[in-house]
Amino acid sequence: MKINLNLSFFFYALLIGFVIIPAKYSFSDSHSIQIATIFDTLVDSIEKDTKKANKIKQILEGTGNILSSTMDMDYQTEFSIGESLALEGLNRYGLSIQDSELQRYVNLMGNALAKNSIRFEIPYYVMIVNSSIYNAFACPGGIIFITSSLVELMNDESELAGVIAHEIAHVALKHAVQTLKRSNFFQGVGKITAATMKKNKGQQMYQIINGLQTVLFDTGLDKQMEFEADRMGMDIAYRTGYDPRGLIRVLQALSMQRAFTHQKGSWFSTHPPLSERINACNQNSSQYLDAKELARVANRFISYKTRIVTQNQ
Amino acid sequence: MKLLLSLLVMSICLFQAVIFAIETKVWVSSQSADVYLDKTVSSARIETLRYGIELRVISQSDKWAQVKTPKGKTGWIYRGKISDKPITPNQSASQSDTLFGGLSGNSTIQASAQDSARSIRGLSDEAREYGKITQKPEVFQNMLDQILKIRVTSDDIQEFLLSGNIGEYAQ
Repeated sequence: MKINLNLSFFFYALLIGFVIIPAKYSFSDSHSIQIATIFDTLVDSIEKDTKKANKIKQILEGTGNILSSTMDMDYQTEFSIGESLALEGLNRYGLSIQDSELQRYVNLMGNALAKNSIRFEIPYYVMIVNSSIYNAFACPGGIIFITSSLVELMNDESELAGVIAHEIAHVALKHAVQTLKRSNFFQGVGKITAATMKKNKGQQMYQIINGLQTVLFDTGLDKQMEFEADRMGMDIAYRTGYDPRGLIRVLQALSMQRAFTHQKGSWFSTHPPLSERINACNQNSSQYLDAKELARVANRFISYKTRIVTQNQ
Repeated sequence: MKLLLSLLVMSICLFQAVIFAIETKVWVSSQSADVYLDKTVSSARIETLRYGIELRVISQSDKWAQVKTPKGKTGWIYRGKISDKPITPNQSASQSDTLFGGLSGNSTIQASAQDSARSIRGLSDEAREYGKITQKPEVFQNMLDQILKIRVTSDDIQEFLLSGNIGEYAQ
């Protein structure tokens, strides 16, 4: 609801009124025809280029040499890769906390947030696993992991919402799938479908999961993808009604822990430096002028956090 | 005469510009958004809008915007549900799937896949196969099964937001 658009419209109206209309009346017909001809030529040229590009794309698709960056993956395949990766996540980080009310609570929050994301049409699943490592990650298709240690570091629901929304943004923007596309797993395949996967079941699936778990658990996604997920995550939290600065508070709490913690496989090793992320998020938060007035929901969060702490004692 | 005509056209343009300046365009940016008679969810719900619907803002107050819907109805919508950026079926199509994209065929997720996604119960055959090949303990599969069986409805979400005093449900 920015007023700039209206001002620019206002400006154009003035331009039409004061410059273009009077000019049109003083122009001869030949000038108008000339302008129309130039415009038509431009449109024709663009159309020709588009047709040419489409033809080249078709030829490439036909020969199976399509570039990996243009490949698609259907949801079913994306989700089954995500499930398999989730099995590796349980293997790497520990078992899920056996508390159905707690797991339902985080799933309610995840799906409430997802409704305000750009990929709201799929179900999201959130799982809290028992682990001393500070981490959260999203498997393709929408299975989100958060470690108990990371939750214990938080003080209210807006902080948890910030982390879950960051992970939803990764899923919504298909960051893991894009990472896969950049690899050579599917070279020569136009569209990755369940049928493609079945043909290559076993070894290829194993390779994909192996590659992805290295990215998600050890090396981390592309730095720009993380910044993008931070920005979109804050926006998702804000739209839902949470204080979008919750994510910043988690990052700050993490930076306090940095010196005393195990870093391998944590948010420290798989994400860009915390100071860079905090700076970027602080800059981004300046657009949310009423952030202070939005929900933080401490009481409900603490009651669930206590359940995690009690289980771990 | 020409000058007079120019002035007349100019006046019409200026009048239209003023009207447009008063009514700003916004678009529904959530899966769905309710329009209420007053700026509170406890007032009557006038209309439920889908993602991408264009609205005109008449006024703003607190966290609410008074809008005019394409059906010509006027009511209040929570600000978090709208965006000042146009939302089109092709937006983010290269990176993500929107509901419009999915249903219009532009999306990489077909409508049938979306339906089946909602009815998935437990682990897929592919993931079970993977678990078998990599010799993952059965307890992993059971735990993942438990999470994948959690179902969240729109009513559940509404209750969750209401009890947390969040967003449009904040008092």
